[in-house]
Amino acid sequence: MTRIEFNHVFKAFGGGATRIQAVDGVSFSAEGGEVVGVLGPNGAGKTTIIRMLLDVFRPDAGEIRVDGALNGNRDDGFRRRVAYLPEERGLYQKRKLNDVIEYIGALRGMTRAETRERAAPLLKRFDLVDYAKKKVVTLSKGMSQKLQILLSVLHDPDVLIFDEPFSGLDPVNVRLVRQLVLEHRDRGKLVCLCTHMMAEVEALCDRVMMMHRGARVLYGPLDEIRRAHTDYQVSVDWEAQPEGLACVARVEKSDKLKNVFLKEGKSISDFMREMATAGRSVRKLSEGLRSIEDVFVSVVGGPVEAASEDVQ
Amino acid sequence: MTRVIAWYEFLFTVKRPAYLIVTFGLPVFIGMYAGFIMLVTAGTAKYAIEGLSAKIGVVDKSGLLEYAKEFEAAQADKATDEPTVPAEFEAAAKKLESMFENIKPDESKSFDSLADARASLDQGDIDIIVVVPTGFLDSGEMDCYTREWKLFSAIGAPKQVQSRLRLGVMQRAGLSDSELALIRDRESPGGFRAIAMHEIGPNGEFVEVDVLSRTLSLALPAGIAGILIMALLINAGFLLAGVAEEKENKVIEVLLSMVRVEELLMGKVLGLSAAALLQMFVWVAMTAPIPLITLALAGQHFQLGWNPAGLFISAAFFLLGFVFYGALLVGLGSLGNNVKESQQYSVYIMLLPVVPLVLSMVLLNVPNSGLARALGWIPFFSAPAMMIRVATGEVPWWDIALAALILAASTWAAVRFSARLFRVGVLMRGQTMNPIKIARLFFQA
Repeated sequence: MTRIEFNHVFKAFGGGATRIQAVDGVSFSAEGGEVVGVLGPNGAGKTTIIRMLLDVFRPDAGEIRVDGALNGNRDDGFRRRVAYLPEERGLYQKRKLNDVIEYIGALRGMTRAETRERAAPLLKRFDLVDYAKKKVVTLSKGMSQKLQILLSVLHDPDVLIFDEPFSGLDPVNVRLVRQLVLEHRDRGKLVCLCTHMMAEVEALCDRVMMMHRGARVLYGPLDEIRRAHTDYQVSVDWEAQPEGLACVARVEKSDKLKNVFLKEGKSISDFMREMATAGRSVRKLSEGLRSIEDVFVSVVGGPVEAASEDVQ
Repeated sequence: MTRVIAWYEFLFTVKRPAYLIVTFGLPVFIGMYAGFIMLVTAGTAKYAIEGLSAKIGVVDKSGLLEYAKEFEAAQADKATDEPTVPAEFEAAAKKLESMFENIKPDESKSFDSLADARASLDQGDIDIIVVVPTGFLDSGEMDCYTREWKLFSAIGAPKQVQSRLRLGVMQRAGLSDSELALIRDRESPGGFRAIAMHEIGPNGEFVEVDVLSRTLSLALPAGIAGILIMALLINAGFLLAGVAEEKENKVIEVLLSMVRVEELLMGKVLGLSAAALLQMFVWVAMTAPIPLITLALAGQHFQLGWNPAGLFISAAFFLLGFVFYGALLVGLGSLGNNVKESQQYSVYIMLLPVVPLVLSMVLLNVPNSGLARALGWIPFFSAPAMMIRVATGEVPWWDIALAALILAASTWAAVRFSARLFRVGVLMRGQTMNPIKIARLFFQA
């Protein structure tokens, strides 16, 4: 299984007054069999991290290791094992799907026969068989999106780097891509997911690294991060009435839930017992755990935006 | 991987309908265009010839034309006799006859005074009056009178009169009829045999120079250098469009995740250059034989004296120059946000290879001058300059080797330089570049 490490990596763009520290001493690791979310607001340095991993840019300082090998990301062998789906996607509009697939297959070191063999089930799965002989320009945005995902996994990569893979997809295809991500993870592949769709992060990611202004601000298993940023113990549905119970210190209302803060020494069992004794019904009750979106907003201090990050 | 990229770039380019139309359609279009021009020219020529045969009235105060008439009358009496043209010039004379058969024989009218001639002009009997003054032989001046001056309207008449005046002078001097007939025939355009040019040969003695073959042998490399520049311009279009398309399509970032930037750059340069060269080859193959066939049909014998070594050296410089410029174009082209912007960055580069062509006469006549050597050693001029210089066969081997070495090293440097620019250039959008920005990006890539 592939293992990637970033150790104290720095990268800046521009000079003088316009100098921007795009990546500021970031360290993290990720390995096969997990989905790692790389999160952050616009300009946080996510795309620069990816471009350095793909050796499009070289870091100013720090080291990048692949399977322990320093600068292993510069090897041709690593390139053949990587799939990259950038946020700003594009295709050769005037070429036929089959031609594009053949070309990408050739760039991945596959023969024409291998490419066809690999592409056939994927075309079927992504419902693109009927378009194989048509020009890319004839595809809808969603289909074009699917074609690009197809192209990225054509060579059965070990490392998948998906930047906003769900944008432009309908719910059915979101589920399709979700399945694809999980299948690859279950097969021991490493999936790096850059997305602003926090629901997908919660559904798919095992670990997350959150960046802000080039620096790593959060890093670790998803649930641990959520737990670490949660100061209440119980969440109940909006219609429940936990207010006034002896074990309850205070109640805060969020969008759909009430977050209950218990008094010191009180547990969830004490809370449930008191609710039952008081005859107050609860339709939904869960352990207190902030959503990753709440964590994101609290850490970054701004709304979640979906936009591209260009080279400075 | 470079080979794969080059092959697909080539394949995608040559399969485009626009490429096929331009490659095979342009020579046909140019042929039709040239044909149209020739037809128009032929029509104009006819008009000009008619102009030449305008009805002339002559007032000869010098008396020289009387001698010419004397000679012409004598020639008319001999019209049925054996031709006075010696056998060796018979073919040329016949050719001349066929070429000038549209020109009417001298039908000029003589007048005693300008007033008489004017009356005839007013009546429309003549179109132009030529007055030969008494002191013509001293001054060489004549006066022409016409109703209204028009462009080219008064070119032919004085020349016809001048020609007959020369005959008159020679008749008066006492030349024989046959001598005069020869001079008359040789005076016609093309009537003289080409001047035989000689030069000192290897043995220290004069040997005749095959001027046509030597001229063609020298003109050919200059022509091929011109083709190099034309091919570069075509290739520039392909390369800039290729990079801009991928940049606009945003495909480039995906490609860079699969292949090294140097591989992508070289693949593009080689593949698109091959497509440009194929296009040039088709054009040359469809058009180059035409002037050679024309010369051959005109009975001109020539030999293209270009040695294989010279050909090989020129081919090497051609290809090196092509890759050198191709790499620079891709690098600079990647900085633009679209084809138009990319062209602006590359236009200055594309002006440079034209310089040796402009100076080709210097390079051909003095191939080892300081200027010629400098042009051969500066990579921006090297390829066309060396192709022209090598054709003279006078450039020492060390000079050729040094120029090739510099160009090869510069090509390698150009690929490295452009790869760095390309690395950042293709990912930038919406930014206007200036040399400082380019330099900064170059060092940060």
